[in-house]
Amino acid sequence: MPDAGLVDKIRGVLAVATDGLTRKFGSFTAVDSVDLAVPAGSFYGFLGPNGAGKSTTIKCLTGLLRPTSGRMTILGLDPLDQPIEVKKRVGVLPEDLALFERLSATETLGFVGQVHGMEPDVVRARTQALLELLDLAVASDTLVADYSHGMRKKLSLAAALLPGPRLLFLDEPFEGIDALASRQIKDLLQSFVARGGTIFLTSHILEIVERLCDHIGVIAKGRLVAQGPVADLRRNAGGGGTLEEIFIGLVGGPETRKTLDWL
Amino acid sequence: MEDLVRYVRALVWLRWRMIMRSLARGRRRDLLERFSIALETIAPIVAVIMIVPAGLGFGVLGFIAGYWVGQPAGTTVAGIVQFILLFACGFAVFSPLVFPANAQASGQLRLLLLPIPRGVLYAVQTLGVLADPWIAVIVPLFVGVPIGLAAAGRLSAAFFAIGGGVLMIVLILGLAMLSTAVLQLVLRNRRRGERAMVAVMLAIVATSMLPSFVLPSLEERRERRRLERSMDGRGARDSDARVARFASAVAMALPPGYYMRAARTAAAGRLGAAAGWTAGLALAATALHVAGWLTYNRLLETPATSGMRQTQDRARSVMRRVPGLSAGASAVAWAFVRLVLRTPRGKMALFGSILTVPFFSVMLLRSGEVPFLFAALSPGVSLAMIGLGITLLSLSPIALNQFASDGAGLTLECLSPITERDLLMGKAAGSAMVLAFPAMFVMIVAVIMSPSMSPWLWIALGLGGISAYMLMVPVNAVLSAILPRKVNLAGIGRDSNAHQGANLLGLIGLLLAAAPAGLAAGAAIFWLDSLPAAALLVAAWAAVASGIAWLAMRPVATLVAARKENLLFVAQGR
Repeated sequence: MPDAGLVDKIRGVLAVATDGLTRKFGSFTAVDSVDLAVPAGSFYGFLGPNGAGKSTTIKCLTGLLRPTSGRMTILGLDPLDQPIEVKKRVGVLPEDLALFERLSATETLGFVGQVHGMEPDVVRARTQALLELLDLAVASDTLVADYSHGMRKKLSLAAALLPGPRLLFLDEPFEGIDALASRQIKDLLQSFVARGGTIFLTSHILEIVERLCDHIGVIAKGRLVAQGPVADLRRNAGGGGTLEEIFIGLVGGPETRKTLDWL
Repeated sequence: MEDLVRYVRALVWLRWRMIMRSLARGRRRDLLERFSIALETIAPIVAVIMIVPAGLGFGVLGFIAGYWVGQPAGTTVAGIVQFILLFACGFAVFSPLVFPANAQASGQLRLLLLPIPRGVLYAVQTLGVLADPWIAVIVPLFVGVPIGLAAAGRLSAAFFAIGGGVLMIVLILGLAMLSTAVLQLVLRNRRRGERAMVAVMLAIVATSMLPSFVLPSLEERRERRRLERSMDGRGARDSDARVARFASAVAMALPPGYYMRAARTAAAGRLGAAAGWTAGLALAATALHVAGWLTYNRLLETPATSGMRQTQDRARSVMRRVPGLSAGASAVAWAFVRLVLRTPRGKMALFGSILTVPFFSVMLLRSGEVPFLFAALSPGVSLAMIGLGITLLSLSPIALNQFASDGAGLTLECLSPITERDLLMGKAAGSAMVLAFPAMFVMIVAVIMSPSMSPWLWIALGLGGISAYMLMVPVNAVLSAILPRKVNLAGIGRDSNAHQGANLLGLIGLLLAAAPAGLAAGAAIFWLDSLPAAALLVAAWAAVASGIAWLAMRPVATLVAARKENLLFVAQGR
């Protein structure tokens, strides 16, 4: 775990760094002194059971929630002091997908392009490319209100990618996505990382995380219980084992399997 | 029977827990948000408290109607009872429009997954209509009538009144269930439902205007009274009597008429006729429930569809920059305009105010119909003042809830590299773009109505409207930030309204915002007797108002930034 002040030392090396990041809701602590260290250019998987604090952490990192205490650095910038500069460099696929129900896909991407101050021709070209890649071109002028969940997720991803961010925060990008689209998205994200981009991803699908991510952080009950390259975590866990076994070992799964006799 | 009791108990418990949960504090809500929720919760409680005396009043009315039934003194009271019952039937038909039907529908789908027979589900939902206070309030009336009859010594008539009362309640419940099921069936297709909503609302607005077109004006009525006095009033009274007879015949042909006739004929000792009217009532109630049950079944078997809506390729217009605004604020402004133009509630705000202009035009052109305050003004000026006021008010459901009404779109705005100030400027510009068209329409019609008025007056009126709007920009933003509400703009009912507290404060704010321009113009006309001076003064005030709005942007932006987390939670419906 990074010690206090480590954020300053590794500024510029890490795409995301937090120091004692804490977020409370009344007396409930959703995120408790989390020290994240996400290397630039890495594919970072952020894992945890339901209600562990994954989405709250992402919301704090993307400026949707203000941390109760702690420090954060995103791409070398403090998101609390320079929120606009950080938002210009970061793409987000949030939990609620963040889409206007009454705009079409084309209009949604037009909105994103305009708020990022992009040239109209660039927006049009990227919009066409993204919608074709994500198989949304046929519904490009249909209102989001008429989209299925999978289509919404793909459009939200397109909106995150449109400005060409250097860092992507993706909250459950594969949930509700069919196998074909999932494959397309995986390829897209891998090529993004291969070109120097950084991805911070949460997912419950451990097989996908195992296949895509080179770094992993595990959060349980608001506290970061492990973090580092996948190989290191595996070594620390005793060598072999799947990510599922490592994950269950870290978050403290039940020691004995309970069965329901009446079922 | 045991199963039925179990189902009813479970569903009553569910309803109770949902009410209680809605009052409990969520851990993510701040103090202001809890205050806001409390305000929303208190309103229905106050309504219920007010309904209790109304229910007692109906009970007493029923008693009097029962006691005096069949006697000349009771005719008027019986007429009132019949009118109330007709109103209740009408309300049962229209109430689903103003209640959150979509939420009810999704609740039903969840209940369908439980092992509850459809018939029981229908019965429980039907009984649930009784919980609607506007329906429950008339129940004492059906208790009062038989008690009154019994007190007058007409016991057989009292028995008929008890049976008739039960059948009337069953009939009203059937009417409400049929109406709800039909509405939800229409709403199963989102696009079709939205069109229907707008059509119904426009029809209601148009119907409410009908009397001003059809009924004689005040001056005509005065003339008729003068004629009545000079000619002993025979002709006029004959015509009035014909209208009254026709209305009475229509009222008697409807189920509330059967109910009253059954009581009256039974009181007169004609028990056979009373049985006939009661049977008619039973037949009508049965027919409504059969239709309601069939529609309800159809509803449960009809999947929801969206009725895909294609937009034109509007990428070019999305990218268009609004003069004087940053790129980010322009994007927010266009998103706001599209929200208004593409939701039933937004369309109603836009077209509703336009539709009221002909109504007020006719009313103002007919002498003697002008409200007190506008009596001294020309019809065109009166129309401009009323029309601009209505136009500014019409956008309240969205302008007074401008952040939460974006839904998940608010998250996109908060994730975008724009400042809170850009967000506010965009919303303000979007509102202005939406309001510009109806405001221009009002002014054009007003000029046509009073073409001889000085152009200076029209300039003063227009600038007065602009100054009121400018002052309302920060007021709307503040109220939207402190009293947000999760809304469904796809409907036109209660769940599409802004927060009740925001509505009230917004109305007061608008009156206060409009007052200085009115006072400035009034002072110039009264003391200087000069319309150009009035226009100049109002122009100066409009500039001051714009300055105030501009200066207010910074503190309001700070407030919005401080409230952002809560606004996001509310917009997401948490």
